[in-house]
Amino acid sequence: METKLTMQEFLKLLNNSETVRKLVPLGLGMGLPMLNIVGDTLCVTVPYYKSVPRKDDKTLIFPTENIIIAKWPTGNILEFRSLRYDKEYQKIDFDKPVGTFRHEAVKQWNRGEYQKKKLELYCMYDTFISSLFSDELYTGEEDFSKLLGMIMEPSLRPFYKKIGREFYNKFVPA
Amino acid sequence: MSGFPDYYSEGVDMDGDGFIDAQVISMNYDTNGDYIVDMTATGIDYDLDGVVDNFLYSADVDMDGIFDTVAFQSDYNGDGTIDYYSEMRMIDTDGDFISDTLVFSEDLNNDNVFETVELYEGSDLDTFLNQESLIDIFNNEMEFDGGETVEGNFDPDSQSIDYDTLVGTPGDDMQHWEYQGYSGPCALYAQMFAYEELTGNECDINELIEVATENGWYTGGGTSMEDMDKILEHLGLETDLTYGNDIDDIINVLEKGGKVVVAVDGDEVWYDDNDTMFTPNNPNHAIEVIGIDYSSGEPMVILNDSGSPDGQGSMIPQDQFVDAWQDSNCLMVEAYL
Repeated sequence: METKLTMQEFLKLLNNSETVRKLVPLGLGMGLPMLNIVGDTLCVTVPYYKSVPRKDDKTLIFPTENIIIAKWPTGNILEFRSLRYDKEYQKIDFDKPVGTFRHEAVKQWNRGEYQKKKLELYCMYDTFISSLFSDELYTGEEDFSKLLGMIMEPSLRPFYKKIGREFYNKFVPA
Repeated sequence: MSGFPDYYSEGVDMDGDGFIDAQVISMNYDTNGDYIVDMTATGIDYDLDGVVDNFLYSADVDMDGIFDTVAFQSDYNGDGTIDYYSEMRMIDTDGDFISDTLVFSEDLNNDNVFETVELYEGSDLDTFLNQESLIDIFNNEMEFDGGETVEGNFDPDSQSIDYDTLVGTPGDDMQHWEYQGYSGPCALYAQMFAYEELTGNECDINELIEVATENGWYTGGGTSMEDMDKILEHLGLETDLTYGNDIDDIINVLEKGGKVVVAVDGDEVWYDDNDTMFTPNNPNHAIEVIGIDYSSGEPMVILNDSGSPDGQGSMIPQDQFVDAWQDSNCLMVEAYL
């Protein structure tokens, strides 16, 4: 299904959904989306985690706590998971920070530059998704991988890898 | 502890108003009885309640005559329990008897486990030591959570307040403000403020957390947007939770004597003008709007924000507030007696 919806619009749609309003605690924000094709459906997995701002690049990053899987492009929610109550994650202390922000790879970017780079990444998602629906060869893989790897918070890498194994093994294998 | 400690204490005027407003306590210790000081401790009681709020230690841990460790602990919410501990220790990693690496560790929740441990060596160590003095680092840690007051705070004692251009009763409402620390119950705090302002009854936040947890309105992670009015309902107040509101809706509620709790992008409220301090994921945050001041050219929204140490009656420009509010689709809880 060809669509002109952008990833940024899709995430906004999701954030305003009843599921998020009812189930995602305030204080949790969206992480980077992961794509997964199931049959002829493109599914987008969005992690949510808490971050608490502090000075001097010591903003605290907490473990990924919620996951939402939604259909592209409708935003229909297919699954909501609270990892806090998930057996697989029972050893995680969700109230303890796992890292800090800004991490090394993005330390040189100020607020505006970071937002610009994130928007650039979302545009890359759009091109990638467009290629999936048109059966065209996606040629931006290298740039996409590089930027995704830079923006992804290193302290959340284990969560991303576990939640979106296939997607991250392809785009951020290291 | 053997040997001495020697001890002195003095009152200090920290804000220069001519009155003593803090007590500084300093101690030197000889921990091994060799009559040489190997640990010093300085404590500050910021609120003169007799309990030291911050302690800074320096110690010669390896007893080589050189102070190699600096530690800091803080009771930032004044409840008598240490909330934060950090330690910087110089170590010798290559056995040449020269300290070459700094280990910076933080226990962020008083469980005696360091959540973050960072190593600085070589040029990184030089950069670290040259860019930030130890005291600067410790002072920054004091601002533990949430934001700075960008535009100052409402001053109920100011002679220049024009009540004709002021919406709400911020001077009264801000008396009910409390700081939440870096935990997640912002929505419970905001509702508690509203309840106390409307009824005059004091609440215990721990009891509210207990009730909210039992009813599924609060997990350790926080409260969802749809549950932002549940505690107020539980306490017997009349509430309405709606989306798609605007500033006029807030004004209407305040003018009717109601209270307003909203969800905003906390990052935009706290650090909108700070280029180097932001979060990667713009989390939403609950605050109470206690007034709007139209006395100057730029309308200012007055908040009770539990997420910021300076959040008591903090003021931000209306445009900035609206930008931050739009991230929640302008969610508003209105509450009445």
